[in-house]
Amino acid sequence: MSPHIEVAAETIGTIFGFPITNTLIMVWITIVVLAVFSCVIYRGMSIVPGRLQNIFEILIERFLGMMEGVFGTRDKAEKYFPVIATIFLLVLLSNWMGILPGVGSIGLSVIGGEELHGEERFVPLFRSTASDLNFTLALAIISVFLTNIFGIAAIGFFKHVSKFISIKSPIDFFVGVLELISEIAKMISFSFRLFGNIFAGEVLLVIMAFLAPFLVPVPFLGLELFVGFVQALVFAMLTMVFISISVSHQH
Amino acid sequence: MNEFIHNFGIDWKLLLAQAINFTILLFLLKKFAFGPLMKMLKTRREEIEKGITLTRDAEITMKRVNEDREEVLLGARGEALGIIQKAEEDASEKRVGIVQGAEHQAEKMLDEAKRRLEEEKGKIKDEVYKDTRELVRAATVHVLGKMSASERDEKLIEEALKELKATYK
Repeated sequence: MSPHIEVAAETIGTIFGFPITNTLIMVWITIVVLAVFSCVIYRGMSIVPGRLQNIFEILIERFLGMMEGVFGTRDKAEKYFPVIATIFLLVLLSNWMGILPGVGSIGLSVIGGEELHGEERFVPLFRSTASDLNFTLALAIISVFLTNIFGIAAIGFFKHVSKFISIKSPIDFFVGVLELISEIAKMISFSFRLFGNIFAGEVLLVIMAFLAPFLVPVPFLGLELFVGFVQALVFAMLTMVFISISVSHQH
Repeated sequence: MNEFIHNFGIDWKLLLAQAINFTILLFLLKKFAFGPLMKMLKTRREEIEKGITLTRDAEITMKRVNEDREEVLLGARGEALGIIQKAEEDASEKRVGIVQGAEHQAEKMLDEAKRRLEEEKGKIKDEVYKDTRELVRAATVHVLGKMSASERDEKLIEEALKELKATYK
């Protein structure tokens, strides 16, 4: 049986007319893992840190230090840290969990949809979250949306909107139009960059496992770990930079 | 466009679900992980800063206290020296007074003794005169025997005694 590659996430079932895809199941698992992890940290938290808390504090401190370099002040860095760190952790864990054995290989045999004309086909129960454009597009929209919300909150509604709609001079007007287009371009580049990388990684792993099931896929698994990390970092860093530009006063 | 959306499986319901998922995760992490951890970091940083400030203050205070103590000690030493000096001066002054008083007293006593001696001497002299007179009289009476003591004799004796007295004085 040759590997079947589907660009869109497969629907497992529906609840009240709401489609449940395998990537949706995966994102729920990711969120549960993160929630459990944060609860463990929250429970064992003390002013004199334990080992786990120490590791997280060092990571947070580093991350905040980097953000301080971009935002300029510690207060601003601390204000926007939760959003950016959440994006980073969610994307990172999603990507890494997509490499776990069982993801893409455990599944159901269902009678296919209209394209397969009633033929039986294999549907994986789990699929790497970011290999679904719905996830990456939702994240991209949230990122761009929050960027503008933070901009409005930081410098005021009219000042922020004047970046996009300005009738002061023809140059300003066209710059505003370009800014508007760039906001949409941001969403597309955000979503397709992450989707493309992770989907390509999935396809690569499937093909490798199909061609040579033993040993050969191992370096590619390592590569996917790295790509997953880099993509999470890129998504978070770009969001951070866009927010920092949006909340700063422009002249 | 529709073809594109269909091929990538984009569904507004799924988009909404993912957005809600992200919001829930953001809330959870902020509430249970990032918030408390950042607060903890801030608290610890503030506490360390407070500790450092306190230490610095304590050091400054200790330095000042030491300086003050040194100053007080120096003052006390000077004062003590002054007191000792004054006491010595007082003592020497008083010694002179006491010695003078003693000398004065001694002189006075000496004078008194002398005066008493003179008095005694006078008294003894008087008594000696008296005795002598009686003696001479008795002797005269004895010598002259039963001779009647005329007034002339009496006068003679008086005169002789007067002369005697004059010579002794």
